[in-house]
Amino acid sequence: MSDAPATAVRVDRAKRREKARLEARRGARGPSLGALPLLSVVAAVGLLLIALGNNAAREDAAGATTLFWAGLIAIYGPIAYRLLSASASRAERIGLVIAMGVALFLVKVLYSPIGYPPFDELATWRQTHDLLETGRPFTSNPIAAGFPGFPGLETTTAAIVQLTGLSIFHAGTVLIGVARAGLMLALFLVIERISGSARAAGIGVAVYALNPSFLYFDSQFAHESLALMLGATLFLATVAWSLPKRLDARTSLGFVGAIVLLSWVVTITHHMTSYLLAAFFVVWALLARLASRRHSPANSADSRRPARPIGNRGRPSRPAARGPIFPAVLLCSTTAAWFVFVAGDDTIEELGSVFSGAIDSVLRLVFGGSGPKTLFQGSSQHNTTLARAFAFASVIPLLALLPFALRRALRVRDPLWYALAAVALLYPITLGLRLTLSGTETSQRASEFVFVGLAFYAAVLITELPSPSRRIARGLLSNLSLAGLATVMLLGAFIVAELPTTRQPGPFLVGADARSVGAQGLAAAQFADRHLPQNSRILADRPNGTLLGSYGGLDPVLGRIDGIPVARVLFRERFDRVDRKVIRDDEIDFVVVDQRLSRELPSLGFYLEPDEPGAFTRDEPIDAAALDKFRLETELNRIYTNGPIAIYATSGVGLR
Amino acid sequence: MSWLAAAVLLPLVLVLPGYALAAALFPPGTIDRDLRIVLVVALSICATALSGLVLQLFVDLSRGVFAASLATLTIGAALVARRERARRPGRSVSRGRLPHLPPAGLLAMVAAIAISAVAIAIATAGANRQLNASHFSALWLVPQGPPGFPPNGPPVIVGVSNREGRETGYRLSLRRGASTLRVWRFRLAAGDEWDATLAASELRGAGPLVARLDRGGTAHRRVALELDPRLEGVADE
Repeated sequence: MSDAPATAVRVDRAKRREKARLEARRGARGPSLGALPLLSVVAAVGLLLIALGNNAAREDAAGATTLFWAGLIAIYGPIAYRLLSASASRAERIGLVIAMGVALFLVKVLYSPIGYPPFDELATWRQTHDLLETGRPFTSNPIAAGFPGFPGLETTTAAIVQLTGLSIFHAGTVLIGVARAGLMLALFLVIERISGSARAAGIGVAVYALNPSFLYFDSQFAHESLALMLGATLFLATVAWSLPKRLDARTSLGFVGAIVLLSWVVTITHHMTSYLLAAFFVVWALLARLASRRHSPANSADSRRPARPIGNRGRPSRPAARGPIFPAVLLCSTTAAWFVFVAGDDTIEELGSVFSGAIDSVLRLVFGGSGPKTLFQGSSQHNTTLARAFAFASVIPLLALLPFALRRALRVRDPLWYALAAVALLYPITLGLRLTLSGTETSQRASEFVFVGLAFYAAVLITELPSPSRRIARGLLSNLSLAGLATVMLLGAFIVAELPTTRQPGPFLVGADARSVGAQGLAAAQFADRHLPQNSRILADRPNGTLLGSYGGLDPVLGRIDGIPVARVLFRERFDRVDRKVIRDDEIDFVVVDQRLSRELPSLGFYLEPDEPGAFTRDEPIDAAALDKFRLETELNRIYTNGPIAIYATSGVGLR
Repeated sequence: MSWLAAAVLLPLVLVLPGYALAAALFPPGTIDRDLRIVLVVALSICATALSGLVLQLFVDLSRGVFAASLATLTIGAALVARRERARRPGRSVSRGRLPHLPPAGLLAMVAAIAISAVAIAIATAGANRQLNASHFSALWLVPQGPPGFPPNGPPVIVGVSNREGRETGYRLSLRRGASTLRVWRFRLAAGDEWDATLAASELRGAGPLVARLDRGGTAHRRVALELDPRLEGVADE
């Protein structure tokens, strides 16, 4: 008898053992990261396209915007598509949202890779620099009145600078980059915990990235960028503490400790984030209280049956101590205490002007006095028809989502879902503010909070679409359509948020914040830092004032003195008695004159500040003669010039 | 300090304090790894910002103060965490498996980081190129002495900055009234600055001080300074 059958059996067994061993090894491995490595490479190529596009924009070369848009699409589109798929593992989804968030943050870094052009960032730079120089965090800030009262970002940045030797710019960039990654992860985890789905969490974060502030405003070295991450972590800790039915006492105590620390750090970092988060917790707590009262045993129709609290699907209710009430009371207390004892004046000065401007604009729009702002248009710039279409495309789907979100919330009947729906329903109001002249800033600041609610419901509703696994091809097409729509919305949101001249760097422009920062302005700031007394008061246009107020260590002066706008000193054709009064009474030490202001209208609509005479309504730039008058005025000493920029000392005014 | 040193020291601020705090607040196995990662970063920022806020009431915030406070916090929290772990010896540590990254995937991630770094380098070069494309010279005449704020009396600093992008020759003349006080001729390399301080005794005469910078034989920049008239006569003493 031959051994062949026995040999075949042995080979079979060996193959089965090998197969089992391989399967055991695979099972012992961690979850797969799927397409994350490939999509990370694609996103990096997107960044490369944006860098090349920005360089072309600096030289006004052809193809700049094409490269830029292609780069954005490459970063966002493929990742959004993969997050929509049902096959990605949880670990892969987490990696993808972090990669997306960090890549979109780097888009902002590529705009200004060697310094901080925009207004808020230079104000934060000044605050941090003063902290490093003096060792004190609450020094006054002439660029942004509200900054001294909220030292969380500056203190952390100063610690990084002191301990690592990095410059303020690099330390701030690293910190905000880490905060961005943390924000994406925190949002993912909070949506996952509430919805119960990792797929919903990934989609939710991708929808959150569609808020107009996400690309530039929330990536800048400013208080809100850090506070968003801290606020999201506080929200996550609250949800993680509140939602579970059972939590051992030690872990519960740990969450209480974390919530206390996070509440304080959010409070000392940014006013709006702490106020809005406190308001959200209060709404959630009230809804939870209402829900528990309605379903208490005393109110039950059949008192023999135990009451079923809303939203927990009949499971035993959690102890009343765990819930949104404690974080609501705590955050309200910390914000109130901080306002009363530390930052009240700073907050009123900063937020007061923002909100009063917005309210004033709304009232004037409603009752007459001013027309609506032309959407998607700056003072001298226009968007193309295609760009406007994209901008509308970024808004319509989110508005259409709202009734479905409300219906979904009413079905679940959970206080937290109600609270998130209430947040989402604020979206149309924030849109309306964009129709007003001064409401855009309020709308922009509100969007990153409102989008948490929108993102949550978009995620839940999308994951509840008919299961793609039954009709694979249709599922793929559906995911492709959704990813394409989301990408269009990302581009449209960016068009809404940024004027054509502020989307990419480029040649010098008048009154265009980042586009108005050039070598001469930086040289003047460097001169001031070395040769002029620190904290001298200066009158200057906004970009030069911000540079001199930060890198130059001087104090730009704005507003009015005795009811007279200080800006008139720059605008009038003759240096007259009233100008002398303004300079004397407001103790202005230097006047900074940039001859380029007479070249063109300011891109943002104003030269010095939004409520200067003629702001947003000029049809001609400043007369060159108005800027030239300083050269002929004997009471003013022209102590510095580098061509277009001259600095005049006012020490002679009033002495003759 | 080099980027490498910064990379090594950065976790001292952004990771270690939060890691110790999270370990003290949440013993092993009480929360999942993803939540712990978020808390590590957020609590590190808490530790830095809140300790700085408290300490500035008593001392100026300096490198030593930051280092001492963060080290104290980290060690203290680590000791609490260790004590908690000792009190719960039977608690199993939930260690979910780390995601699996095959060699090709690892290579792709490294490539992604490298491409991103190249993108940043390209953008940086472009930004510097744009700044360096502006060619100009700057001239200044700044009083340094009393009276008042800002000062408006001697001594006076006269200075020139070369941002022409190449070595440039200058002629600088300083006049007061009809008199030429000083004339300098010099060459500056690209990016260099030159200045001179003039005492009161060197500024005799009446009328405004006028500095004129000639470049390539033609008048290029002009600044003028009228010293405080209350000092007239003081310069002659």
